[in-house]
Amino acid sequence: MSEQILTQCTSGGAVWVHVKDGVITKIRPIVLDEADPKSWTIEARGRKFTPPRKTTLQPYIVTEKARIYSENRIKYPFKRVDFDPKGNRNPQNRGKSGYERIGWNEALDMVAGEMKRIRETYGPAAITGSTSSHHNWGLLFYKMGPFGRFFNMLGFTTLHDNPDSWEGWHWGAMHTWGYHWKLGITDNFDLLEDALKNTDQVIMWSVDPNTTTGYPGQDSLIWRIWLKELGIKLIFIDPWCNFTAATLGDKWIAPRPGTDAALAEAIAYVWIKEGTYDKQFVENRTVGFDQFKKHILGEEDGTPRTPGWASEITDVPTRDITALAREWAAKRTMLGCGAMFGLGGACRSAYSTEWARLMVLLIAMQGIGKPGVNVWGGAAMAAPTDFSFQFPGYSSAGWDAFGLVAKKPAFPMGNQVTQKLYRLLLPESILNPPVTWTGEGFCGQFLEQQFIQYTYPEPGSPEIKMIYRHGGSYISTMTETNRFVKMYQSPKIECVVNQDCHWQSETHFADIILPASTGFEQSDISEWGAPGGYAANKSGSNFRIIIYQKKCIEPLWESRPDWDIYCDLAERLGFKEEYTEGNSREDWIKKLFHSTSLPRYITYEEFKRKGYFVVPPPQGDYKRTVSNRWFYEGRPCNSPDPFNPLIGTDKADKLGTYSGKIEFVSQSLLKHFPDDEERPPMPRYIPSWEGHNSKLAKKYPLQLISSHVRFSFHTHHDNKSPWLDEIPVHRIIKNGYAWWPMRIHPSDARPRGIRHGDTVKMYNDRGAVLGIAHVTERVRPGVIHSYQAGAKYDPLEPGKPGSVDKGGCVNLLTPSRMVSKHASGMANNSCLVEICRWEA
Amino acid sequence: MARYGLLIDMNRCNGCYGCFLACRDEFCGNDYLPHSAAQPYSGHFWMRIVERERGAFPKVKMAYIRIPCMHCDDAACAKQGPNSAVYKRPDGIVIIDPVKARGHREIVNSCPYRVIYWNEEKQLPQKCTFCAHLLDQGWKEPRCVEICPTNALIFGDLDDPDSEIAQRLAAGKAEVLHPEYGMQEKVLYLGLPRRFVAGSVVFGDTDKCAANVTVTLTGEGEQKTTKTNNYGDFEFEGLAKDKDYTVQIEHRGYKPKKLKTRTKIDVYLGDIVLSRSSH
Amino acid sequence: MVPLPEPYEFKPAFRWYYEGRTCDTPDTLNPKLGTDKAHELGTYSGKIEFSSEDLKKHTPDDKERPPVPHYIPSWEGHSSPLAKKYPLQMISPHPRYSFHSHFDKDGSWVNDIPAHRQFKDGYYYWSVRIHPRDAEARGIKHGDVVRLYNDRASVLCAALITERVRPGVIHSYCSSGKYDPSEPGKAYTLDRGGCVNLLTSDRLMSKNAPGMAPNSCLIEIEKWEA
Repeated sequence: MSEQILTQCTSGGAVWVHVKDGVITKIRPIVLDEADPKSWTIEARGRKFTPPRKTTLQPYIVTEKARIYSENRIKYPFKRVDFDPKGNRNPQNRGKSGYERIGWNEALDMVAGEMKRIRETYGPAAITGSTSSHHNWGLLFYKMGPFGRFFNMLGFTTLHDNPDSWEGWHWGAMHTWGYHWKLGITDNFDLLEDALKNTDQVIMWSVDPNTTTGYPGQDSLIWRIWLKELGIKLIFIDPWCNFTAATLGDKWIAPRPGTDAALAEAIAYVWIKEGTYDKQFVENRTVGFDQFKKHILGEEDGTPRTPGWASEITDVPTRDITALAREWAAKRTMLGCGAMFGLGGACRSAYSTEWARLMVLLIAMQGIGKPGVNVWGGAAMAAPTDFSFQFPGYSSAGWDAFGLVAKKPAFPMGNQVTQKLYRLLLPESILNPPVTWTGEGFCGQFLEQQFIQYTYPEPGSPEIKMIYRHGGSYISTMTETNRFVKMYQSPKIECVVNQDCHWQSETHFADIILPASTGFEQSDISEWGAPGGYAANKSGSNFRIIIYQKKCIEPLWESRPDWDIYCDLAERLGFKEEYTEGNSREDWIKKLFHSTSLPRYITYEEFKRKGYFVVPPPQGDYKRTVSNRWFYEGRPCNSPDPFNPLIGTDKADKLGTYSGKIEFVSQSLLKHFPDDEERPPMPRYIPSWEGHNSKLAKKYPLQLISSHVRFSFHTHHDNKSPWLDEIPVHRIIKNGYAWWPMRIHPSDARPRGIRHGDTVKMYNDRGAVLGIAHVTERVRPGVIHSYQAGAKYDPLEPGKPGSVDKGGCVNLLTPSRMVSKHASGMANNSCLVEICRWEA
Repeated sequence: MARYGLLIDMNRCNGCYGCFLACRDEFCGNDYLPHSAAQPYSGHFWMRIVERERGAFPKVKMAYIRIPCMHCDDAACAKQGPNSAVYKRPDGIVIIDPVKARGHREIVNSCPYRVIYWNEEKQLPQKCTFCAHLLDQGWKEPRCVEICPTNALIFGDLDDPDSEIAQRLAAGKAEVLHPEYGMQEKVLYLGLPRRFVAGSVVFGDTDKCAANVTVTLTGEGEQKTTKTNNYGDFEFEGLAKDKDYTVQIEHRGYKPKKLKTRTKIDVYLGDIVLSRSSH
Repeated sequence: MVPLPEPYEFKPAFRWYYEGRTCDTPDTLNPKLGTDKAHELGTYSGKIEFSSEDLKKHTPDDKERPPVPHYIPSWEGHSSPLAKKYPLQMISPHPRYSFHSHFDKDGSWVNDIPAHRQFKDGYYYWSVRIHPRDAEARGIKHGDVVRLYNDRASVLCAALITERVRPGVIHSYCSSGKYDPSEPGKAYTLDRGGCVNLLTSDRLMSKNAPGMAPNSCLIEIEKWEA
C-alpha cells in the first residue's frame, strides 16, 4: 500500500501524519501551499514581518509517533487481581497490587454494574468523575464531549477543577480589573503589531513563553525573535533564568520566590515619588488610588515601600529596583504577564493574589491600552486574525461539547446532582469530611462565584463511593500528592475506574482499567491552538487553521476511542439513544462543520479531502481592535470578546469590576471580605506562609520552584518516549534509569557536597524525591528548580504513602495549603525543602 | 548539480530540540535503502546538541550547539572506509552504505566530529544523511530544517548564488566548528559562542547603578569601548578564548578602575564599585 | 606452598650494615657476598655517599645530577616558564583498575567503575581528577567531557571533580588501553581514548639520567563541547 498523508491535530500543533500499511511512519508540521490564503504582513520600523507558512510544533509533539506506539500504552482492559466487586475489594492494596487482563465485555459489564449498584444503593451523587487536560486534542471527542455528556446525563457529583494555571489572577486580579469571563486575565488583540511599532521594552515577569505556549505550538517564538532583532528590550523577572530569558533576555532580575509583590510595591513607590505615572488615567479610569498612595508612601503603617525596603525582602539590589522602575516609566512598556501564555509561576504561590493584583495596578499606572503599553502574555498572542469567522473550541459549550450541535445538550442543565467537590480538596473530602471552601473553581460566569461557600458532603447527599478517572494524573500535578495515594486506599471508595491511553502514575490505583485510543486512532474536527470558552478568540498562532482530524490507524491493541467506550456504557445503563441522538461519529463532525463559518468557504467534501482550512488572515488596513485601547480611550469595548457580558449594554465602556474601573481598592472584596488580612481589599506584599523567612526555613532552607514542564504537556509525554529521556533538560540517564533533574546553584551544592550529576534526595516533612543534581548558575542561590508533572511516580515501596519516590514526582513535596483562606488556589511554588546526596 | 550545505544560525536557536526529535521521527523505525537503515529508538544522536551555559548568576546565557554530520568535501570517513562503503554523492552528501558498511566499526572512529554512531543490533555505523532519501523525492530540505520554528537552520545549494544559504554565506561571517580539521565541512555556523566579559558598575558613594559610564576593553591587540546601560551593566561579546584582557572603567569625578581577566570561561566580573576621586 | 623454616631466623634489611656486620640477607645477587667487602655497600667508598664518588669521578660538572644531591627546579614544573601557558601539573601514576593497558578495553566490566572510566554520550571516557577550584575557574562540571592539552597533544577525558588532588594538579592514570585518535594513523591528532601519555614529555630525567619523567608534565584543560 502506498503512503498516505493525513491531517491531525494535537495539544501542541497541527500535523501531517504519514501512514504506510496501517502504520504511522512520521509526523510533521503542516506546510501551507500556494492555494492557501496569503499570509499577513506587519510593517514596522522600516521592516516587513510575515510568518513562516507552516505550523510549528511543540517539541514533545514531535515525539507523538513514539508516544502512540509506546510500551506504556494501556493495551487491554485490566482488573486489579485482588479486586472482586462481588466479594473482597481490598482497597488497601490500590497502588500495590498487579492487574489481570480481562475482556471488554467483562470490563464494561463490571463498570456499568458498579455504576448501577452505587446509584441504587447510595444515589447518583455517590459517583464522581474527573479529567485532566490535553492528553488528546479534538473539539467533539476530547474530554468535554464523551466524558462530559456521559456523566451529566448519568448524574454525578461534579468535581470542580481549580484554575491551576491562573490561580493568583483568578482569585486576585479578577477583583482589580474584572475579566471574570477570562478567569481574571485580559484578552490580547492586535498587540503584535502594536508592539512591533510602538513598544520599547517588554517585562516578562515570571513567564517563560518559549516553554509554556502549549496548544499553538511554537508559532509566537519568531515574534519574540523579531522583538530582539528590533532592539526591543526584554527584561525577565524570575528566580530561575528560564528558557526564554537564557536565549533572548537583556536583563535577568531574580527575586526570592514569593516576594514579587514587594518588588511591585517598590516600583509603585518610585513612580509615585517621582510623579512618573499616568495621572490622567489613574484619575479617570481607576478607583482607590489615594489610599494606595498613602499605603505605598508609608502613611498608613509608617513603612514606606521604598526600593530599600523591597531589597531586604527580595534580595534584588536597591539600585536595580530603582533602575527598573525608572526605565519602565520612561519607556513604552508591555507587561508580559496577565494574559494567556503569561500566567507565571508567581501566580501559583502563597498570597499570589497580591502579586497579580499589583501587576494590574502597575500597568494601570502606566496607562494600559495606550500605544505600546499593555499586558501582553509572554508576547505570545495577537497576530492579525479574523475573528468574524465563527468556529468554536472544545470548551465553548462547557461540559458537553456535543451540545454545540445536539438537539438536547447535557450541560449546564443535564446533571441532576447538585453536590460539588473541589479538586484540591478531594483527598480531604474522602478521608476527612465534612470539608468547606470558598469559590467555584472556574468563576467564569460572574464575579459572585468567588464568594459561594461550599460544603461537602452537601446536606442530604451521600459521600463518594466511586471515582471515574478519565485521562491524566493528579499524582504529580496536584499539590502534596501523597494525599491522593492515601485517598485511593480508603475503604470508603468502593470502585475506581481509570480510562486512559497510557499508564499514568494514577492508573496504578484503579480497580478497573479501560484502554482508550489516542486522537490519532479516531476522527474529529478542531481548530488548532483554540480551546474556546474562557480562551475564546485567543490567537497564539500565525494562522487560524481548522483541521479535519482524520483517523490515521486502527485503534492499537485492544484500545477503543473514549466515545465508543461511553456509548457502550450508556447502552448498558439505558441511555445510549439519548447520548448519541442516533449520530455516528461522522454525523457529529458533519453537523459541527455546518454550524460554523466553514461552509461559506469550502464544501464538506473538499474540507475532508484537503484535511485543513486556513482562515484568510486580515490584510492591509483591516480594523484593529487593540486590547484595552477602548478602555484607555473611554470608548465602548469593540474587541471580538464574545463573552464580555457588558458589550451591547450601556456599560460597554466599563470593566467587569463593581465600579467598572480598575480598582486599587477592590470593591468586591470590600463588600464580601472587608476584614480578610490574607486578601485585603487593597493588595500588598504579605510574607509567604512558606517562604524564605518562615520558621520552617531553618529546617528546610531551600525554596523549591516547580514550573510547568518544558518537554511534556503535563504528564502526557514524559515517560512515553525514549527520545525525551535523552534530552538532558528533561531527564538524565544514570545507571540505566532516567532520572528527573533538580537544578541547584553551585553555592548551595558545594556546602552539601553535591556535585553535578550526583544522585540527590530532595525532601521535607511531606515526602522525599530522588533526582539528579544539575549544578547551574541559572537558579538564584537558595532556590531549587525542578519541573512539576513528571509522569513517573515510582515509590521505592509501592503503595506506601510517604515512600521515597525515584521517579521525580516533586509535587509530593509541595504544600496542600491553598493560596489564602478565601482564595482556593494551589501554591506549588511556596515550598521549602532540603537536599542531600543519595548514596543508596 | 546542487552542492548541499547547512547553515546553523546560533542566534535564532532556543534549544527546543525539535531538530533532534524530528530526526528521530524520520529515521526511527524507518528504513530508507539504499540511503540509510532505521535509527535505533535510543542511543543515537544524528543531530547532537551540546548545551553551553555561559556566565554566572545573574548574568547567564545559554548556547545550543547543534552537531550533525558535517558532510565534509574532504571527509575522513570516506577515506577510511572499506572500498566505497562510505561515499560522497555528486550533490556532496556523504552516505554510509547501510549494506557495505555492515560490521565496519572502524568507520565510527574515523570522524573527528564523532557524529557516526554504532548500531549494535545491525552492526552498522550510521549518521545524518541530510535526509537524502527525501531530497531524491523532490523535498527541498531535511526534516530538521522543516521543523525549525525560527528558520535557525538554512539548507540549500551552496553553488547557487540565489539560494538563501549562499546569500547568507556571502556575508562572510559563517565558520566551521573545527577549522583545524581542515575537511571542508559543509555545515557552517553563524554566531558560534566565543567568550564574553561583562560586569555591573556601581557608584560607591550613592550606591546607584552607574549608567552611561565608559568601559574600555584591551587585549589581543585590539581595543573596544562601550557604555554601561541603565543598570550599570556592560558586556563585550565575541572575544577570544583563553586570552588576557584588561577592562578599564572611567567616569568623571570617580577614580578610574582597571581589572585584569582571562577568558578561560565567559567572565562576569560582578559588581564593580567606583569611588569618588579626591578632587 | 613452600613451608617456612622452623625456627625462622629474622634478618631485617640493612641491619647488618647498621651493626657493621657482613651482609646476612638472602640477597643472592650482591657481588660482595663471600668477599672481604661483604660488610660494604656497592658504592665506590662502600659507604652511603653524601657526595657520590662515582659521579665525582665520571661527571663531576653535571649540574643536572651533581655529586651532592639537592633540589633542582623541574624542567617542566610549577615554576617553569611553560606553566604560564599550561598551568596545571599532571601526574599519571599506574592505574588502579588495570595492569598497564592489559585489562582496560572495550567491553570490560572495569569500564563501569567511575574511578576508571565514565560513560557519556555513548562513549566510555577515561577519568581525570581535578580540584573544584581549578574546575570552577574553567567552567568544568563533574562528568563533563574535557580536553587535556599541551603542545604535545590533546586527549579527551571525563572530569571527576574531587578534593583528593591538590589545587593545580591534574591526576589521571597512565596506561589507558585505548588510543582512539580522531584521524587514525596520523600522529598528534585528538585522542578520545584517554591515552594521557600522549601529553607527557619525551625528555629524559636529566642529561645523563636516561629515565622517563611522565610526572613532570604541564597541561591545560578545558570543557569539550564537540
